[in-house]
This record gives sequence, C-alpha cells and structure tokens, in this order.
Amino acid sequence: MQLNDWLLSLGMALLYIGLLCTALSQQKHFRHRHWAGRFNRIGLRSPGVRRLTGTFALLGSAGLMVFSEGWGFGLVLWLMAAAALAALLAWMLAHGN
Amino acid sequence: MTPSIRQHMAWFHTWFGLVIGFLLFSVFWTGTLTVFDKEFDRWMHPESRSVQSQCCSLTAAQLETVLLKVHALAPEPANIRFHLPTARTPMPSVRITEHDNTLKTYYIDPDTGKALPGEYTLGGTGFFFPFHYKFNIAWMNVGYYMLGIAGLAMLTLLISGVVLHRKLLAEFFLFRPKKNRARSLLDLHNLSSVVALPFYITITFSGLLILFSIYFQWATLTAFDGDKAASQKAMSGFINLPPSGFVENDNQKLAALKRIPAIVQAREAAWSAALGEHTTADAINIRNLGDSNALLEIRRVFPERSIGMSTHTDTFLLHTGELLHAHEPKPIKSFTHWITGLHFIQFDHAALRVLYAIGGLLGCVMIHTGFLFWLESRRVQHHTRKLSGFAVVQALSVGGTLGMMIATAAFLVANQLIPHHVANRATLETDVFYSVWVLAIVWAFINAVTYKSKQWLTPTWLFTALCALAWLLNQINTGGMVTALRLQEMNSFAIDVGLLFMVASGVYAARKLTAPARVSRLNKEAFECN
Repeated sequence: MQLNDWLLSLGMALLYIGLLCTALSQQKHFRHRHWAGRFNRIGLRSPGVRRLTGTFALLGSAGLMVFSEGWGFGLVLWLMAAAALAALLAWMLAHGN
Repeated sequence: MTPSIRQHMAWFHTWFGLVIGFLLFSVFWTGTLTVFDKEFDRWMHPESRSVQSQCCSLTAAQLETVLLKVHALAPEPANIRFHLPTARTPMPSVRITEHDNTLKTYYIDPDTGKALPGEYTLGGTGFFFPFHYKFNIAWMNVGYYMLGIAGLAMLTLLISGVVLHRKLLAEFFLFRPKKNRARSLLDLHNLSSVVALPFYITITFSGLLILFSIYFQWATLTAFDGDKAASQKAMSGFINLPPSGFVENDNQKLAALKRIPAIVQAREAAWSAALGEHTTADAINIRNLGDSNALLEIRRVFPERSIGMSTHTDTFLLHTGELLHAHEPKPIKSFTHWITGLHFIQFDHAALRVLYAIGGLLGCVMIHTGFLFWLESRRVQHHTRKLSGFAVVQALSVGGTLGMMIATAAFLVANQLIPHHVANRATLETDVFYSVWVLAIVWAFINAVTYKSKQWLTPTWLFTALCALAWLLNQINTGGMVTALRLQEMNSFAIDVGLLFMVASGVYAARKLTAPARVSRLNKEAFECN
C-alpha cells in the first residue's frame, strides 16, 4: 500500500468515528446500549463534547481525503463515503439499541 | 382553515412521487448499473477478454495496424470512431458507420489485427446506458423529454421532502426497524433520502444540465444568431465540412491512414506541453475517408486523473494533414465540464465508482420505500372502504421496481444462454428484458386483483434465483471468478461480485418478508385481503 492509500484508509476511519460521535450526540442515540458507556469512559459524556469531537473528526477526514486525492476527488469521495457510512451507521445503531 | 405550506408540500410529495416514482426508479436502477457499464460489456462479451493490449496507450505501429484493419473491414465508411484503450476497456474498439447509416462495432487486437465483432451483445454501454438517459425511446426525442420531466420532478420532490421532514438533522441517523411497519418504512425512506441528499441533488441537476441543449435548443442557437455550425464549433470543436465530391483512390486513403499515428503523437505532445502533464488522446474520429475533404478529429474527453470532462478536439484535413481547428474549451466551460464529469463517472477511481453505485442503490431504496410507505399507511383504510387503489399501486410497485430488477437479471441470464450463432442475438437479449418486465407487471396485476398473497416474496425469490443463475452460468461458460482472477480481468470479476451481493441481499430481504409481522387484527385482515 502506498502513502495515499494509508491516508485514505485513515480518512475513512476518521469519517466513521466523526459520524459515530455526531450520532451519539443526538437525543435518539445518546444512551445507546453498546456505545454510550464506551464514550463516557473516554470522557465524551455530554452532547456538546461529542458533537465537537465529531465535527473535528469530520473536518480531519475531509482534510486527509483532500490531501491524498486532491480537491475534486477528495471532496466528492468524502461526500459519497459520508452518505454510505451514515446509512451503515444508522443500521448498526438501530440494531444495537 | 387554509392548509399550511407543509401540507401543500405533503400532498405534492405524496402524489407526484407516486406518479413519477416508477420512471425515477428505472432511471436510478439503470444509472446504478451504468456506473459499471464497461464492466458489463466485458462480462457479457467474454470473447472480448481475449483481446487485450498494454494499458492504456497504443504505439504508433499498433495504431497503424488497427487503422489498416478497419480499412480492410470497411473500405468506404461514412464515419469511423475509435476508442483507444483505457484501464476499464483495455483494447481499442471501433464503430464504423456506413453510408446507409448501418453501424458495425469491432474490438481489434492491436498486435495481430484480429477483429472481433461487437454486435454479439449491446452490453452495458449499448443497453443500460441509453435506457438511463432516454428509456431507449428514440422517436421524436420522447425518451429525453420523459427524462427531463422525471428530473425536474425529482428536484421538486427533494425540495418538498426537505420542507416536509421537520427533524431532518435531529433524526439524521434514525432508523427503528422494530416499530410498526409503516413507521420503519418511513424511517428507512427518510434515512436513505437524507444521507445522500447532496448526491441526489447533484446527480439530478447535472443530468438536466447535460441534456439542456436538447430541451432548450434555441438558447444556445440564439447566442450564435441561429448559426448551428458556429455554435457546434464553439461548444465542442465540431467542424462540419461538406464533402467535396472528389474521390481519393485507395493508395491515397492508405497513405492518409498511415499518417494518423504521427499526427496523434504530435497532438498528444502539444497537449502535454500545454497542460504540464502526460496527456493522451482517448478517441479518434474519421469522417468521409474516401473524400478529399475527409476530416480527422483527435479527442481527449476523459482525462485520467480528473473528475471534469474535457472537449479538447483538434480537427485536421486528413489527406493534407492541415490543422483546421484546435479547440480549447473556454474557462466558463470548465464548470460545465466538472459538473458533467461528476455525472458521467468515466474517471478511473474504483473506490469512488463503488460509492457512486451505493449512492444509486440508496436512491432505489428511497423510491421503493416511498411506495411501500404509501401502501402501508393506506392498507387498512383501503381495505375497510373496499377501495381498489391499493391493489393498483401495489401491482405497479411490484412490476415497476422488482419487475425491472427481475428483467435485468433475466437479461443477464439470456446473455449467458443464447448461443453465439443466433441471428440478431443482441436484439433477442433486449426482447427478453422487455418481455420479462411486461410479464412481471401483468403477473403483479393478476396477483393484486385476485388477492393472492406473497406479492413481494415471489418476485424477490425470482430475482435472487435469476442473479444466482447468471453468476453460475458465467462460472460454467467462462471459468468465472477463478479465471478472471488468474487473468487479472477485474472487470468481469466485479460484475460477479455484484451478482453475489444481489443474491445475498435478495436472500436477506426474502427472510425479512417471511418473518412474522407484528400487526393489529384489522391490519392482519387487510394483509390477508391484499
């Protein structure tokens, strides 16, 4: 794997974490059976902190993708990956709630 | 009391979605398949896998071999169009139009000059792609206008959906599969709509923009005082030089063809110098080869590492080598090129292509769950009041969505089963597609009218079985995934993986359909009734 591929993989992981933090900051998932305890243990206790962490992770993932793929591919890739991962995350959260 | 704007939007969203949803589903479904159109071409035409050149350019000698072969195949063509090898189509393909407008396509081995007829199947580029943008209806541009109406409706449906959805951000990740059926379906409809909303807006807007010149022909012509030739030259570098009537002899034609590789190399060098990166031509067009006014167009439409398309076109007088016009798109065109490039998805980026396909499938889910929600929310009411609307919509939903998917799978099975020597083989394949689609709709209506159960389960199993059969037949006929991996033929491998994914999704959906539903007594009666 080349450096670009590593950066892209890292960007995807960060994007997923960002979406997860954002989802768990919302009222419907704030007390999620699997994730709420884990988030509390690492200090992400309030909706505000989770949302802020999520926002930073999302921005970081966008930055990584733009850095590895260029502006055009990076932003489109981020947008499309966010859609696919958000759908996956909603399905995953629904089944663990 | 006057209805609120949200109520107006709800009415519009419900009824326009219901009417236009069937068209939209076929556009989204074939659009998703078109993301892998060239992969489908390879999968459906196994012989083409034997013709493979060094990706992704031809040497001057190879190009000359190909050109001379084309001359041998069609000595007096009206138009010859070459597509040079790319990573996704690693062999040159050529489309020859004769003076009586008959069209022949070939794949040509650039090393040996062996030509393989391409009429074997329409494949992804010849069937799914035109279905996506004109429903394969060429008469009076009706297909384009149907698509235009569907596209405009889609944009308004998206906007009305956003207005309707009160908690768009607060319920961004919300899906409750264990709630009642209507609630779960609405959640799924909202989820699939909201997560890919920017994708839907972009893809619909760009689709309308691409066909803008068909819908509003006068808009571009007005800018050029009605001069069509001037507008074509300015917009796409197309020069329409009428034939002189002076016929070149065979030796002069051969000499002109042999000169082409050098001209192409010179233009590629000029483009590379101007753009500061290695640049190759991806298409060559020769018009009126036998005439002294024969034209040679060298095009670069799909740059390798860019989303945006390009219309770099250099036009030469073929027999003299004189450069008539070097077309460079105006800066304002770069916006349009980027937007159209986003829609055409011809760039070489496998991960992004897969994500586009997921986006397309999410669109299919959005439309399908829209229908299902309409049905579920009216099931009891229609049952109690003995209304026939439910049965009609259910039949259309089954035929328009699952029926289309079954027809696609049947098309692939037909491709594997119809022998090579059958005349009009490609037409027969498309006949299978349309026949199966019509049969599915008829079956759904009969089932709905006679109140048979399993309206959804039987088509789901049928689709799953056909996908599995198509996959299995490809393994038997061509060696399938193992051979594809051995030959590094990732195009057909991708289609096999896609078929397996469809089989898995079909089994999952069928199992969910057979799971006992938690329904009220009245709802249970309505279920039995429908």
